[in-house]
Amino acid sequence: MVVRAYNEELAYLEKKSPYKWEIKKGFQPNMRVEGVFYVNKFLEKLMLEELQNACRPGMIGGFLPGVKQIANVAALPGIVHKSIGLPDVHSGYGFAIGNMAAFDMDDPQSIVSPGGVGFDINCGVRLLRTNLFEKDVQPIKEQLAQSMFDHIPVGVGSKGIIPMNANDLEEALEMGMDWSLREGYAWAEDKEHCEENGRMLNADSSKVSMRARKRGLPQLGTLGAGNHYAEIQVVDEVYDKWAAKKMGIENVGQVCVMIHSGSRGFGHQVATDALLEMEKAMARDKIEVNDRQLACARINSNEGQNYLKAMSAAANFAWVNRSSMTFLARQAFAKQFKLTPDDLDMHVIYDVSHNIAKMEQHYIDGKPKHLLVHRKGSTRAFPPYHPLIPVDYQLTGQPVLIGGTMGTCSYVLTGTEQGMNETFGSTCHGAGRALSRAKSRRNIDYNDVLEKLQKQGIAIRVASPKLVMEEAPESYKNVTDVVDTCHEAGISKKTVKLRPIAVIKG
Amino acid sequence: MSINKVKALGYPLAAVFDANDQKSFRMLILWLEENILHTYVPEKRTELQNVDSPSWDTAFKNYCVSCSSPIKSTEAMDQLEWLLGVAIRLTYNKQKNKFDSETKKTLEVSTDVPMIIPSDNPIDNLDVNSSDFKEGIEKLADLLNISKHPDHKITLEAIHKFIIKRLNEEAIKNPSSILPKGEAFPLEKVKGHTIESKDSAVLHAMKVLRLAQLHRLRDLQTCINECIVAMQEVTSDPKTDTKLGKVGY
Repeated sequence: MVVRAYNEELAYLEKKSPYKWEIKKGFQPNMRVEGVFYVNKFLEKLMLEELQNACRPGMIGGFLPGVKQIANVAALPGIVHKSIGLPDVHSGYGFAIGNMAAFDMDDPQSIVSPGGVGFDINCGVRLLRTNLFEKDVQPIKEQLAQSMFDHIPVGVGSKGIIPMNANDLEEALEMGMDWSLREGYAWAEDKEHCEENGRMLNADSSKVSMRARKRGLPQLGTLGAGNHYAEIQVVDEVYDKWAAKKMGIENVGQVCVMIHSGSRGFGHQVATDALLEMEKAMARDKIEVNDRQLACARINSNEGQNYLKAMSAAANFAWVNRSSMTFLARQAFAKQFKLTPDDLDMHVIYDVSHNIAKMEQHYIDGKPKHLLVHRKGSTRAFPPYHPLIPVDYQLTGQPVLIGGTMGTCSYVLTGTEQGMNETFGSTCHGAGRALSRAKSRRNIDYNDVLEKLQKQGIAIRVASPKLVMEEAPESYKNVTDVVDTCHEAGISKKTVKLRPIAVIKG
Repeated sequence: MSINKVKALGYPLAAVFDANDQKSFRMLILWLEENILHTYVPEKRTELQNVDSPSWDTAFKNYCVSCSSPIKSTEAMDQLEWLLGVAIRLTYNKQKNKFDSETKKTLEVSTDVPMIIPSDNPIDNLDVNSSDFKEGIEKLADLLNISKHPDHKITLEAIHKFIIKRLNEEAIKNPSSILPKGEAFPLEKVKGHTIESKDSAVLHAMKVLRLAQLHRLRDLQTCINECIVAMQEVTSDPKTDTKLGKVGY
């Protein structure tokens, strides 16, 4: 890393509009394209402070500041257009979380990097609607939260209640949501309203290590820990009436269920395995990167292909996982209300992936290009009429589900044409951390956090309360700032705001 | 019946040929052998020539074997059918060029002039361009509240679609099953996207086309979902076992 004084660093950053900054070439060595990041004035302060802190003499260790990470990604072979930081960007392993980048598939030098996908492969958010209203749920929300907690196993080391053997897992890895459909855990309409239709076709379970399978098998159908949650939410505000109607959201007060989860230990192991393999490939193919956390391999190399196939299997795992939890959530509701999930109209509004790499076609300088798009902590947000979004959302654009942090609100956005042109049809994914986990543990008391939630009238069920402060709203950026920035910058459009009334957490 | 084949081969007695008449049948076989098949040398044909003899049937059986007929059936008619086929093939191969060019000519003529088959169905004999017919369609369109196209046949197509979809037995019994639910998406909210035109009529038309296309896509997706559901009837067996569950720390 180049060591410069903060003022000198600032010379490389230019504010292009109230919501958009550009990182010029030269900020980090060998930048092939410019970097860009979207922030409003509050988030801007956080970004620059982080950089300023890193510029102080003697600051070594930990992750690089987000701006530096975006610039390092801009130096990777085969990158096109720009290295893009979304408003919730914060430091992560190699790539910043909230950093997206696309690599030209036709360039033999282009790379794929597990750091650009993240450890929790195909972590994502799913939103179910119901035909219930807040007044129906408030009186029994404690029972409902308990019922959800009883159905969906949570926490580190939790195990699922859907019986599966090794053979089932093998099939699920290849089939994704089609497995859930075949076995009857999902509805046909769920598949229709899921990104990629809930199945990556290039998945190859033979590229997945034994260790990953062993970790994955008992964890299917579990929520996990960390920032994952299942929430019962109510519609708090509707910004775009017609788009909301298309999603089946009719009015303020309507009850929804949000599930935020990923591929659990399975995806983590796939990423870990790939990182080891790629270090060797980098030495062999003489791939030079600015940060050794940016381990990568050429897309067409064996290592690159193996990773993509295993990653797809992990993505399928995550979809089966979310489908299983959808099934369990539907059961929990059905039991409480003594109605079938059908009667409760518990349809999936949409299911997004915010940690994934996908092959997509985009226009660069007016020419169609095949790209490998890495989205880490970034959600796909395709505009109206895009052929890859469900027919129900052709007029509105793809729904984008932004999960807030525990106790704060969540949003539904829609994709825009401008986002397609500027950010490869990508937008933010959530609040984004402001404090590291360790810092949160030191600074916040978990009793305060739980008490505060209670005061807000939110029913909460947690498996490990002592870890709750890591996920306290104070540890995160303000999700409203993040979403507003995306809206103002035009890369996605606000549609609905949701507020939690019950939280189930690891 | 093989009468067309017999005629095509130019059998002089085709007009009076009767397959069920023993003598007529035997005469045809003899004619086929003498004029086309030539399986026997002329000297060996005596038994076949003797069409009134009681031993003719045996002679015919032997003859079929000599022709290496693959027909296992003991029915004389089946054998005749096969022999006629062989005879036609031989005749065709002898004058292949002539037949091919004739066929070509016939085909060209027949594609130019559509073959008209007189029909008993009154609808087939309708003059769809008569003013009576046009007037009828217009009246029907008014009645069903369908806007008219300058080409009355297109209006008719629209009426047809409407009746099939909205006025079928099921729909009349249970009208709510086909009425679209929810509020309609206003046309002015439909974004143009890549449509570039300043003419509001063109824009409007493009939007309508888009909506029509979406409607078709929706129907297709519904079909797909129905297929999945039909498959689930067979395969689905969701189970849960709470004993397996474990909450983490």
